[in-house]
Amino acid sequence: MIPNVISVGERITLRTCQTEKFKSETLSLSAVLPLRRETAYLTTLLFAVLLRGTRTYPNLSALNRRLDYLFGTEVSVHNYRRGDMQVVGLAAEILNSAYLPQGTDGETLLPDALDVMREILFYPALDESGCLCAKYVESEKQLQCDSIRAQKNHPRAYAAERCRAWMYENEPCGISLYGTEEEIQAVTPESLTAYWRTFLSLLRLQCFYVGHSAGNTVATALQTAFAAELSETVVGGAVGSVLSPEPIRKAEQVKRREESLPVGQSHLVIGMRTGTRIGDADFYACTVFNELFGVSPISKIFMNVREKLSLCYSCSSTYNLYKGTLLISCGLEAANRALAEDEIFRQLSAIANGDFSEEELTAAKKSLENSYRQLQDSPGALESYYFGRALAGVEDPLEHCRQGFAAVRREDVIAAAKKVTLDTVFFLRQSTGEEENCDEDD
Amino acid sequence: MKMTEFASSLIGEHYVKVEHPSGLRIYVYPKQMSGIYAMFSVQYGSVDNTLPKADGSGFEKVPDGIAHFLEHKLFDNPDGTDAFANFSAIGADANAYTAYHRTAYLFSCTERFDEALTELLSFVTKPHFTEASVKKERGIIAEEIKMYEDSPWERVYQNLLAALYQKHPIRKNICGTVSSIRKITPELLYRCYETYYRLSNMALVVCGPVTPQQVADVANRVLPQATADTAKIPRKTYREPAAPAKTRVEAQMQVAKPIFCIGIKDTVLPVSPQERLKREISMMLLNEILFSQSGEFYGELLEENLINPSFSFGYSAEEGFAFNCITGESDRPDEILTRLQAYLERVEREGISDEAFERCRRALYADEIRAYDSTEEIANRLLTFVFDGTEMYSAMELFAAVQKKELEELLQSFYCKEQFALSVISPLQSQSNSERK
Repeated sequence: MIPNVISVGERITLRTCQTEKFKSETLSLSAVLPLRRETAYLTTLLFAVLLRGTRTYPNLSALNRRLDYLFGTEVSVHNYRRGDMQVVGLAAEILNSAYLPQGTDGETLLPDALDVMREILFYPALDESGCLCAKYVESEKQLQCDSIRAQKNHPRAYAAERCRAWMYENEPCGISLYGTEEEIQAVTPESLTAYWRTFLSLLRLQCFYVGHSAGNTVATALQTAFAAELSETVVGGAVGSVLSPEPIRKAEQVKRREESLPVGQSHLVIGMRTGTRIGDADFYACTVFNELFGVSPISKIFMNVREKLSLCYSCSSTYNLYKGTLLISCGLEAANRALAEDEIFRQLSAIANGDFSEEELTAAKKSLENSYRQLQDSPGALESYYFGRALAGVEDPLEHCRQGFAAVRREDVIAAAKKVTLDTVFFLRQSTGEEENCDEDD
Repeated sequence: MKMTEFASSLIGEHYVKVEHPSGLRIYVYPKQMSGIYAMFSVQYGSVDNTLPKADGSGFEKVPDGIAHFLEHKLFDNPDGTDAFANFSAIGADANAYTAYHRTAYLFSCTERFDEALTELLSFVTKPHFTEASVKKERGIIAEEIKMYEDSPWERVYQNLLAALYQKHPIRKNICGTVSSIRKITPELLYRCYETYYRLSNMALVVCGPVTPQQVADVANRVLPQATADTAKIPRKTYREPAAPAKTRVEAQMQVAKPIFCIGIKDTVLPVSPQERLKREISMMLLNEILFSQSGEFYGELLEENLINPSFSFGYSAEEGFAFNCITGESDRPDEILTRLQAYLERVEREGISDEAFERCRRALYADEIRAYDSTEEIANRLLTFVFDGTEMYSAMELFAAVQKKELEELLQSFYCKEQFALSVISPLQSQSNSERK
């Protein structure tokens, strides 16, 4: 299932996967922006405010009432870092009209959903002065500040985020999407409105559709929906690659950082550079290496740090294929930190020294084939795969992955492991909690 | 082998029930997807923390968390292999989970399905527990328990259940506690296994590009051809009082803002599975009308900055317990409770509008249909219905038949002030002084 690419005028690019497989249709509209400290948090705030109400549906309840009426159409904001870019936009999940109850003929859910999305982007609720509603701006500023503080509510995710921040401190992808409380508090309805207008003037929509409709039908719906708003040509705002032109392939020195938090479990997060990212000749080898090292249920670190040494419940590695980095994460007792850290490095060396069996290698490749093939069963996974690759300028149909993984040889995995360098070690230390967790006994 | 087909003309799909001679119920849901999802489950979960005494004189308490511990240890095979490794060798992705009333072992794969299913049926029916492996597992599970204890959302929910229920073991953590799991021994694991892991107390559900015959063929090769034991397993029942154990509980944790969980204990527990399903569907719809983002309650509280988008709600009903739960973050959790009660009184007085009823019914109808897009979701749903003793597609019919008047009656009877409990996780005192003004 390779997406069909349709250019809907100069400012709208549509990728479609036509399939009868699903009972829903999904359509996402994204802007792909360079990650900049001055704008990333503003973009986040802007989309939160846009979703609060429009000229026709002036508040959240009214907007959601409309969406519920369109058979539970869900419109949500997505906002994430992909490589060194920020991808932000709206996504709609729409019931496939073939499954509408009898007696509701004539419903046109896709154009109606697009109509709501256009309202959100271009016609949000404004004050008399023409600015984004002050009460929504203030409310969302507060919520964004709350989100920053609430990161510590999830120690594991917080530890990973802190490790990322240190590891990428001199790269765009280390920039927070939320900003700081000071930056957020300084935003005014006027400044956010000005930012919104600039954003629209340069907007180029990257659309992705998965569903039963033909590409041309979706293209026509998009063209009709945005005929007034996105027909003028613009200079600038070209969609850049998510791949950095000057990637850091090797860590020069190791950063060690530690923080403490009043929680009961510590978290060790280790950031490494693999020197390999998507599009590179050894990309498949590196993916297989990571699977063997820290992803599959029989991965080296799972089998040793958890199963053999009983040091933790969770221990796994994540490969950021756009950055060519690994993040290894492990929740454990502070006293066991050195044991776990040593074992993780020992397992990395083991792979680099070829100390893994043919069975382990085959299992890693099979596991990847299995999970890649199953991406076709989910609209979200299809989009993530193909849209991500499109933004990286890499053409690699899912169907080719199997050959890609199969072709990886033992020496390729060893070579991939040898290229890995240690960048950052972050430790979130449990401090003695002020209250003991109740341990009820009978 | 008897095969029965269940079909839905609405979504154009069907599934087949196969009654295997071993006593195992097998359900196959053919679906054109790339992956196959299979789940072998036993009707035994964390609330079964007792064993019936051999002389029939009652029940013996076993350590909390033993069902979950057993789930971890079942992956060790008698021949010294690890079931995870066997699945990995053929490219299948295996996992397991323990819930209040069930333990499920599962895998997904895109090829070599017969081999993977053979492994699933084999490892779950061949227990192997040793002193050394039990000891080793304690460290792993202790870290799992700590991981959940560090999650304020888990804690607020767990504390709510302990407040709502006086006797029922739903008030206990599924994983048990660090000290309760110390008392688990291989001998206790074998006794639990032998009591509950009987094929007549289990079900196999498979969803994906497979045929019922293909699944039955594997079952025939691996499982016995006769039923060993169909006697009903005695289960301890609890005389749970209507009132909550506590109406308000609070704990402090590393959180930025207080987290609340409001529970309303449902004291009407229909004995008939079909009636229970009907009540559940009505409650889902009523919840959507009352608390969704399109409703007044959410909109008003958000505009006043009293809640944020973490606000959510849900009704849970299983054999022996049922409750409604409303959760979120707020600087003033007690005010949320007061506002909630006032709001409910108002809707009780004023009734539900036709517009709200129709709109929410549309939204939930779409959710119901879309659930059939995922093999994992279908398998889990099907298993829930099988263990509850209801038929999955009947939910769609019940859903279409709900009347607004029934929801208004349910609203009048459901919310009794005496059945509310509030659980709060508030920021640590030291943190409040330094960070919060």
